[in-house]
This record gives sequence, structure tokens and C-alpha cells, in this order.
Amino acid sequence: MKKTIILITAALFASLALAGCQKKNTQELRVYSIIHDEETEALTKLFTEKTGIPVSYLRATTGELVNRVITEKNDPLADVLLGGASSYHIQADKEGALESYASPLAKNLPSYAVAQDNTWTGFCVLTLGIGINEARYAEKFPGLKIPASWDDLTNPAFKGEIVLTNPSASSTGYLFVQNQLQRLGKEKGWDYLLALTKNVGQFPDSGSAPAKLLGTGEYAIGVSYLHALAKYNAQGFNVRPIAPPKSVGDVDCVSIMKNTKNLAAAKKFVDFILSVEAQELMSQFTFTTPVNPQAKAVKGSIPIADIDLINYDVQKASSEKAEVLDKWVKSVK
Amino acid sequence: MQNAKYEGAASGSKLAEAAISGNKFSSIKFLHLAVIFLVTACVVFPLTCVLITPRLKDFIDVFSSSVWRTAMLNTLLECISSTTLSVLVGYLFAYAVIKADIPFKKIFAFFPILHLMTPPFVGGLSFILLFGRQGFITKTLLGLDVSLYGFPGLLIAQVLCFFPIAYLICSQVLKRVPPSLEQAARAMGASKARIALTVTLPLCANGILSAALFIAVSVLSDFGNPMIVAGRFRVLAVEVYTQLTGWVSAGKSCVLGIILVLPSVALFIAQNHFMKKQEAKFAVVGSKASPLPEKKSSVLTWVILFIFCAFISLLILAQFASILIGSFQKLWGINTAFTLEHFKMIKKFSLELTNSITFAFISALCGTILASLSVFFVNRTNLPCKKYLDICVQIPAALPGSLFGLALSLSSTFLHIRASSLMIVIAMTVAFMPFSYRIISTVFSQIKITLDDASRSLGADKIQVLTTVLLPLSKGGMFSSFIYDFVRGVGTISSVIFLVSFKTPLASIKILNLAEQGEWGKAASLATVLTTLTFSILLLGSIILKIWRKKEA
Repeated sequence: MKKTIILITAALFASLALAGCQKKNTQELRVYSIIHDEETEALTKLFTEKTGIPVSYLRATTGELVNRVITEKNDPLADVLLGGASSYHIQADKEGALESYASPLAKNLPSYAVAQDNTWTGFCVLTLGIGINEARYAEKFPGLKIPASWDDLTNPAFKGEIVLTNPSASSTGYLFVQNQLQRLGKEKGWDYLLALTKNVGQFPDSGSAPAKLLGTGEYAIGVSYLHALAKYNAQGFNVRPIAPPKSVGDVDCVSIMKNTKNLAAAKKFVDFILSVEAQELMSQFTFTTPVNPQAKAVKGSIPIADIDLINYDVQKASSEKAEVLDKWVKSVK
Repeated sequence: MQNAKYEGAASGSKLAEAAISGNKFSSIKFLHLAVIFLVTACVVFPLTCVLITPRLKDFIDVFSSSVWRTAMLNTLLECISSTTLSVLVGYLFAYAVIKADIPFKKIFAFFPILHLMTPPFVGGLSFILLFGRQGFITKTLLGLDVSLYGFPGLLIAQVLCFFPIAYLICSQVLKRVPPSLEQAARAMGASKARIALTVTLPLCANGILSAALFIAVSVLSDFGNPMIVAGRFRVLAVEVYTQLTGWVSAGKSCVLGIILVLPSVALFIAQNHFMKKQEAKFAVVGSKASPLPEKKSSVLTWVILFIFCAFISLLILAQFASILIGSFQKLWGINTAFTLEHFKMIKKFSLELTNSITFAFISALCGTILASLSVFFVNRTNLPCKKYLDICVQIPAALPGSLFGLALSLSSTFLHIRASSLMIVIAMTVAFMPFSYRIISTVFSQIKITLDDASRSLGADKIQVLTTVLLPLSKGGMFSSFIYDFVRGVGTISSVIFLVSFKTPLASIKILNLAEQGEWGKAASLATVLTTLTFSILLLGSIILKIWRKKEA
């Protein structure tokens, strides 16, 4: 029995000792990162080289980190939240978790890329597009023209071969639904969505899933962010990205935590992310379009000239979210 | 102690106990208090935080919407079918390995354990590679163009995922079925098949039921499998996760989690009721008969069982093979050129690997000890709070891991404790403790209470009964429990995903992260290294144990 007691105590002490090891180093900038692991690593390394400020980061998915930012708002663990569509930053801002900071570099940015209260700043443009697995497409639909517009997707021939993210689980999916509703108007938009969903084989919960499923040849057609498709294409997957007319765009954002004890360093980090050097480095990894007009996008990414955007109303999208999704759940499936 | 009420059927030697308990009052009472405190702090308190998080509006939102009804019905269907099949497969496998004299049984026995080691993402990803629309089995081997996403896929994935649990529990029970009864039946001329169905099976009913209820609860809370393979078939556990990560609505997620817990609690009460009635029948240790050499099975049974085991083992092996091959391929399934570049990356992840192994090891130790003590207090003593302890230790099995992780992070925010590693250890310990509890209580229930009485009438106090009688007799069960806790701890994602922090990254989370980013080669090679490490540690452990036992003997 003594052995057991000793073991228990030893185990508890061991875990406590481990826990004690992670005292917060205030010198160090802490970043919650939603963007790609390697990209974060390269960016933070460059930042440390430039400023001498050490950085440690934690990479996880959007919902998870935004959740943390909100629960920790009074005593934040991180100083900066890097990545995530504007809707998530708006949500964190509504909970009072974000600090306002107008970076001098943000003046050159398009107006949709900066929050009105300066709590978040976009650092790259994300656009929805269509992805085609060319091998599977050729095998399934020989001779059929490759879809070039949103409307082409409702062709009944495509039944079961389209993969679309579940809008009630993912912001990417919801962006697509709003894209159609704002492009066609409410009534026609719903007609379109209901016609399209008849062709959908699967509604995965993650926004990155369609590109992946296209890459492995599980489906012939998918809706995804264009940069994800471009990246898969550049990696060697047989995925062709198509930029249909009348698409919508969103921005990946960076923001500073409200009660950070590291405000000066955090501000420097935001400036750094918007700088030409960081923007071009980013584009190399993700094939996204830089938000800073002076930065050049990497070869293989979709040039901004090829992208045709509608005038997207973010406020409308966020205010009618519950209503639209309720209708979605009731009428689809 | 003196005024503790002696109810229940625990003991027949109250006088002896009362005489001794006076001076041994403190140590057992202290231990009892410590266990109660730990369980309260690590299980009850976080769950209370979950209960108080949702606002009234969240409840109204969830209950007024018809959306969840489909999800609830789906969950019911999922639970019943997956549980039945998993238990069937697990029992047959255990029977084949333990009772039927099939060839290579020692190797077969290894496969379910191997499968338990699979990091969760391996299961999902290899499922896509093997059974997907472009799957190796479905398309390349069978030439089918089918989509298994949905209910059928979920059924396959969950049965593969959960049958090892049924196997572990059933094999423990089968090993302890008194051979005397089977021998008697054989002496009276019963066929092997008849013995299997009318003697062995009913004697295992306890273990089977235990496995079934445990798996049912695990199925209810499983979100990894349905997330990846259930397609348009929505279940509650996924909705809990979706509300949390997709919508950032902790409130609604908590409400759904609470709904999910209700049937689990019902299952749990049902099981307790049933087990009480059965317990006495199955106490077998302490009246051992020497086994007669086994009679050969009929050729047909022999062949069927062999094919069955081989099939299941091959499936498990195929999963591993796909990961192993994937970690040496440039681009999974697309560019099959051989490469070592993914493995060269691994040294970057040494902190992740060390953390995973250390935390899982500590948690497995804590979990096994805590579970054994709880089983002892609940089943073998008359100390107060038995029901409370019994329920608290098992309830985490009914919770989706991510919800419990959220509960822990809510409570640490609430208490202003910033100890990520402590939280991870607690999460791993608590998440897998219910299984330890099940397996150890199954083992304990087979140790006749008369042994306790005998040792106590020889002057042993309760603690001595535990350390000198119960624990040595249940070594096997405790070791299984430790292995299970350790392996699941290393592989777990859902229960720790909200708890990792800057200095406490974990390998399993990293694998998920890499896979999610499409870095399958790296993900696969990290999974390979992690799995190999886990295996080597277990191998080392069992070798040390063997040497130690030899020295003792």
C-alpha cells in the first residue's frame, strides 16, 4: 500500500513540477496561429531576425483558437491571433477580446480589409472558387465541358460528384451560401442552392476538406478557397482551380488581444505581417493573394485580375446567419 | 468507521472487521478521502462548470429546434448497431484466441492491442485510403465505385475502432471461466459448439454486458469516426464538436453535451442493476481446477474462426501498412516515389513526442491506481459515498472528449490556474479511467469475497486485503488497464485539443494538424515514429516486468 501511496504522490508531484516549468516569459511574444504551420514558423523566425523579439506560437483550427481567445479574454495567454476569416474576428471583438490598433501600413489597404474600429486587419485575400479533379472528371464525364461558372454546377449529370462544405459547421460553407444569395437575390438564390445540393455527395464540416477530397480523387468537383486549390495544384495533385465570375472574397485577419501585457511587441508584429517582405513570404506558402498592393503574389497563385467579385455585404451575412442556416437545415437533405 | 452502516452484501465477518478497524482507522480513511477529493476536483467540478456555462437562451434554442431530432434518432441507431457488432466481433475474436485452438493465436492476440495504439487520425485517414471512393480495397481490389460515407462507413469504422475493447474485456473473462464446468459438460458428452453456447457464453454474460455497455457509451461520445466517415449522417457527438469549433458557441455545445450524457447515465444505471444480480455467480478465483488438455474443435468451427481472425487482423495490418507506406511516399497516393524527407523532419517534433509519452505515462499510472482504489472502495468496503464514487469514476466515458476538455479549460479559467501540463494529465487520466475501472472491477468481481473474509479472519486489515490479496490476483487486469490508458493517452486528440499550450504541444495534436494541412507524408511519418515509440516502451516495460517476476519467483 505504501508503494501505491508513494507512486500516487510521485506522479502528482511529477505533473505539478512539469506544470511549474511553463512560467510565462513576458519578453516573449505569444501567437495563436490559425494559418499553416510551416508558414507560421517561417514568419515568426523572420520576425525574430528583424526585431530580436522571441516568438512562440500555438497552431490550431479557427474555432478552437477563437474559442480560447474569448474564454481567456480577461487574462489572455496569447498576445496575437494570426489568421481566421473576418467573421471570427468580429465575433471575438463582440465579446470584447480584441485591442484596437491602426497600423501605419493599414492605410494602403482596401477598406474591406480593415475593421472600422481597427480591432482586426486583413493580411491576405481569400476567394471562393471551383476545383476540378481532372482525372476523375475525364473518367466520369467524358466530353462534358468543365464548369466555368457557379450556374454550371447545377447540371444534373454531376449528381453525387460535388463536395461542398457544410455551412452550418464552417465559415467557408456559409460564405458560399451567402455568395449565392447575394449574387442571385433571396428567391433565386435559394432555388439555385436547392438545385445544387441535389448534386452534392458529401457535406464535410471542415472548410479545407473539399480540396483534400478532390486531391485524393474522391470527388470530381468541389467548392473551396481558390488559394487552397492552387496550392494542391502546385503540390502535384491533379486539381484545377477555376475562378468563376461573381464570387466573394474574405480576408484572413490578424488582431491583438485586449489585455495583453506585451502590447508594444504585438503592434510590431502586426506591422511586420503587413510588410511587403512578410506578405511575399506568406504567398509562397499558401498561394494567397497579398493584401498589401506593393507585395507580389507567388507564381501559380490566382492573379487578382482573374477574380471577379460581387459587392459582398458582410453585415447582412452576419445578421441573417441564424435565419439562413435554419432554412438550410430544414430544406436541404 | 465504527458507526459506518454495514449494509450490502460485502462481508460476513463484521466482528473481525470492527475489532481491527479501530487502530487502522487513519490510513484507509485518508486514502478514501483522497480518492473522493481527487474525483470531485477532476470530474465533478469541471462538469459543474459545463452545467453553469449555457445560458437559458441556449437551452431554448436547442430544444425549440427540430434539427436535433434527426441527430438524436441517428445517434440511437448508431449506438445500437455499432455496439452489437463490436461486441460480437470482440467476443468471437477473444473466443477464437483463448478457447479455440486455432493456429497463430498468439499472433492474433496481438492485433487488437496493436489496433488500440492507432492514433485516431490513422483510423480515419486509412479508412479513406482503404474504403474511400478511391480506396485500395473498394476500388483497386474489388473494382467497385461506391461511396461508403454515411451509416455503413460509420459502422465499419466504429466496429474496427471499438471491438478491441470488447476483446480485451471478454478475453479477461474467458480466461477465468472455470474449466471445471466445461470439463463437466464435456464429460457428459456435449459437443464443443454446445459447450461454447450453453456453458461458456452464459458464464461470460457479465463480461459481455460490461463490454457492451462500455462500448455503447463510447460510441455515444465518439466524434472522430463520425466526423470523418459519417458523411451526411449527423450524430449528436459531432454536433457538440461542431457547435464548439464551427460556431464558437460553447453554450449550445454544453447543452448538447448534457443531452448526450442522459442516455449514458441510463445505460450505466441499468448495468449496475444487472451486475449486482450476477456478481456472486462469477466469483471463480479461489476455487481453481487444473485445466484438462483442450479437445480439438470441429474442423468447420476451426476454419471459420481462423478466417475470421485472419480477416480482422489483415484489416488492422492494412491500416498500418497504409500509414507506413505513406510516410515514405513523396505525395500520398499521387507521387509514389520513395523519400526519406518526411523522417528527416521528425527531430523538429522531439518536444511533442517527449510530452506525449510523459503525459500519457503519468496519466496511465494515475488512472490505473485511482481506478483500482475506486473499485476497491466501491465493491469491497462499506465506506460512505460508494454510489457517488461509482458514478463519478465512470461518467467521463459518457462525455465526448472535447466536451470534457472544454470543461477542464473552463474550470481552469474559473480558478485562474494556468498549468497546461497538469490539465493535460488530468484530462488523459479522467478520459480513460472508466475503462480501467471496468476492467479492474470485472477482475475483482471474479475474486471470491470469501478470500477477503478468509484473509481478514487471519488478521489482515482492509488495506492488507487489498495489497496482498486483491491487487496481486488482478495484476493482469491492472496491466491491461495501464496499457490501455497509456496507449489511448498517447493517441488522444479530442480530450486534450483545448488544453495544449505554447510549451506543451502533443504529438497526436501535431499529427492532426499536419494531416489537416494536407501534409500527409509528415503526418504519417510522425504517426509511425509515435507508434513505434509507444510499442518500444510497452515492450521494454513487459520485459522488465518479466525479469522482475522471475527474480521474485
